[in-house]
Amino acid sequence: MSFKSIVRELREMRDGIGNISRRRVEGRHWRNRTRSHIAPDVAPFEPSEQGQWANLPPELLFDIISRVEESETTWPARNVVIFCASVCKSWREVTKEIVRTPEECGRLTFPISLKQPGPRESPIHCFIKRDSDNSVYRLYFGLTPSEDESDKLLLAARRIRRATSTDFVISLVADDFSRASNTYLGKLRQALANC
Amino acid sequence: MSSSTKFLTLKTCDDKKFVLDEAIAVRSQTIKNMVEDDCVSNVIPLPNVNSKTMTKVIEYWKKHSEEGVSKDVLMDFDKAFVKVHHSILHALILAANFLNDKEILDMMCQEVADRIKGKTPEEIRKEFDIKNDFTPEEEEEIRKENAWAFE
Repeated sequence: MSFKSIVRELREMRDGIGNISRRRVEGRHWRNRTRSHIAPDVAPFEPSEQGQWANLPPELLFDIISRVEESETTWPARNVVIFCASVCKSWREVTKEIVRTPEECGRLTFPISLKQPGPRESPIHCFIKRDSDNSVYRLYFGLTPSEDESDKLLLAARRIRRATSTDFVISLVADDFSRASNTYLGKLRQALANC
Repeated sequence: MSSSTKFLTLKTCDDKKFVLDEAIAVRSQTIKNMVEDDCVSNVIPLPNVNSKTMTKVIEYWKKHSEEGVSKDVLMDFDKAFVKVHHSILHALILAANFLNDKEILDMMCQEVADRIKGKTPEEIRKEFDIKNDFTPEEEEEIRKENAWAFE
């Protein structure tokens, strides 16, 4: 058994993942390769078709992206973890395997983090900036606004007053509240009458 | 083990031979295990490593085995050692993994991680010659994540 695989096993024991999930992931990798091999309308399969870095053995890619993930713990630098998952299929699989939920690691990473439970011991601090001119409310990560305004925007809401109620349209970005956008999350209605 | 210098012959996948002091070659855990298990005949084949990569590895081993080299000199050497084209980095990572040399593997993986940091997905692809192979559905999900990441 190589040192690498021992480290991996220890890491898995620590994280409580176990061997089964690793085998499942490797199985997925294998299927991906097979699929690209038999796909009729693509160029003949070569090992380096996606580039040699896309075909790096998963445990080595795991080592590399883990280093990125462990060193970039604060926003905005942490966006590089999302970017690693945006490079190609194999990088995405490995990155998704590395990133843990906010409950487990106390950090936000993918937008899905916003819908997952937070850490039990310490709450995640956020603050809201209200822009009354265009009725946009921005939720930022952090205790107080930083001086250089580099705070991470988590969610944005636009308030829409109706005759009988007030709606809040929730989006992942602050400049697009259209329902057709893929950054649209949903709509909240204020139940209380304006008082 | 005898105190006199023993030499090992390593043969790379392109049939080049390297004669090396055993004390240096055992920086590779893989070679060390072979030596300790006494399963070394005349030539140790390294089917996963080419001569160009092995030359780099031996350059590193020799420098780090020299006596009386200061830490600063070694740090400068390491800094220069990792400043290579990404295809050489890739070959060195695979070689270090096969040879089971944790020192080189660590250093190379850290170098790749450092090159990734601060880059956008497109810049990472360009840096490492990676092709985007996502399906349109995956692309949609990724665009959404990136829109949020850039906020």
